[in-house]
Amino acid sequence: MQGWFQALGNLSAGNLIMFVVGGVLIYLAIKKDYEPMLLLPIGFGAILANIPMSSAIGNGGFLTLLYNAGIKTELFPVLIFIAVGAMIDFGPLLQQPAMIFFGAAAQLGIFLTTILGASLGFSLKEAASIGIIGAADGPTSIYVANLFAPQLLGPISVAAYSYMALVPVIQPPVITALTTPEERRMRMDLNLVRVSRRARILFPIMVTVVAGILAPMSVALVGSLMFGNLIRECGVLDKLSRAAQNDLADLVTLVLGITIGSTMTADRFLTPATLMILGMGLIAFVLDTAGGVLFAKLLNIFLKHKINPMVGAAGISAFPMSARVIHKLAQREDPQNFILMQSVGANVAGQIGSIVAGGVILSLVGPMA
Amino acid sequence: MVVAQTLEIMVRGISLTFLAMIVFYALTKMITRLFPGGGK
Repeated sequence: MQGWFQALGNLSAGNLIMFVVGGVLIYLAIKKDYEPMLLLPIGFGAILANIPMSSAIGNGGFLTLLYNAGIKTELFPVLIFIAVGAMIDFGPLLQQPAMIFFGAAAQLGIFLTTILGASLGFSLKEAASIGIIGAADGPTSIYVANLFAPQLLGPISVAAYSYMALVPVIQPPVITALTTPEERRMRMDLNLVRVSRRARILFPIMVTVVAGILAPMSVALVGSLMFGNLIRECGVLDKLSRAAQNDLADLVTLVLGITIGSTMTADRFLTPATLMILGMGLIAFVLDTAGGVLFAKLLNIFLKHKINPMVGAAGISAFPMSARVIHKLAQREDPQNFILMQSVGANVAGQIGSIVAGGVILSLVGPMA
Repeated sequence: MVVAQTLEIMVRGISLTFLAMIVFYALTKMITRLFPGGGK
């Protein structure tokens, strides 16, 4: 009884606001279907962490144990990448290798937002962690934020996953503003090369080695993604591939979300910095989309066979949502225009591009800050 | 000072990311040609 009164007495306005924030995340997950696998656990984790004297966090609390074991050690993002790698078919990229450049162009927002963050007073490491939101890649955002700005992990994760869910809302106006109706109606030849099993097996090994040499800090992320993909493509580990795609993905997602939510205590989340992070995360997303579109337009100056500039916007990592959005936009202009395969190729490239950019940021910012 | 540092990070970061993609492109072309999947 005394504990009950103590908890009630310690309940602050900040705790109540965080209950509402948690409730809003749960509402968005259930009612709007916005990344429910993550936003719902994050929302509930936030509620658990804001109950005064909560036994879920703090010394011996199970959420703190999970945080120390899985987030602090970077284990959860790496395990998630193994699962994601097992889910991804790099075939559309291997069939159209040129799409790989959009995976780089659509990372522009990361670097521009880093400049914005630094000029707004965030430290270099904090600004870089905020910029990574633009990669539209949850695990990479968590990985970088945990190394560079663990105190901002909550708002950065919420922004990353919320905006990933909002790709169908964020990308179309940016694309429409940067392209003419003629450009959006542009058709593209589809010359798909058949890809052998050997090429599919060699690809993840090759990407890991090259990315590792260019940005050693990306090895954990690229390596785990490509390990998952190798399990998928090797053809002799179907059981492990299924386990990675289903059981591993589900289990890690389950604990990842609620653990991130537990970092959203009122004293850490209800700060002006959170609002700034949410705003800059949105800017990063917009700039990444713009980077992809403008790069495609730049290429079109030199290319004989033009690229529909909208395909460039699919170079972000939100897979396969971004590719679908681009294809729908193209069909809205011309119902007979099919650019899904090209968009998927660019979107898959975005998966690699975001991790490489994350590794590059870690390699460059770490020694400077 | 900080802005100069972030500008340097941007230039080097974009260059390195593109460099990685150029290498991936070349190697992807190479492996799909070395190990073709049986025509178009």
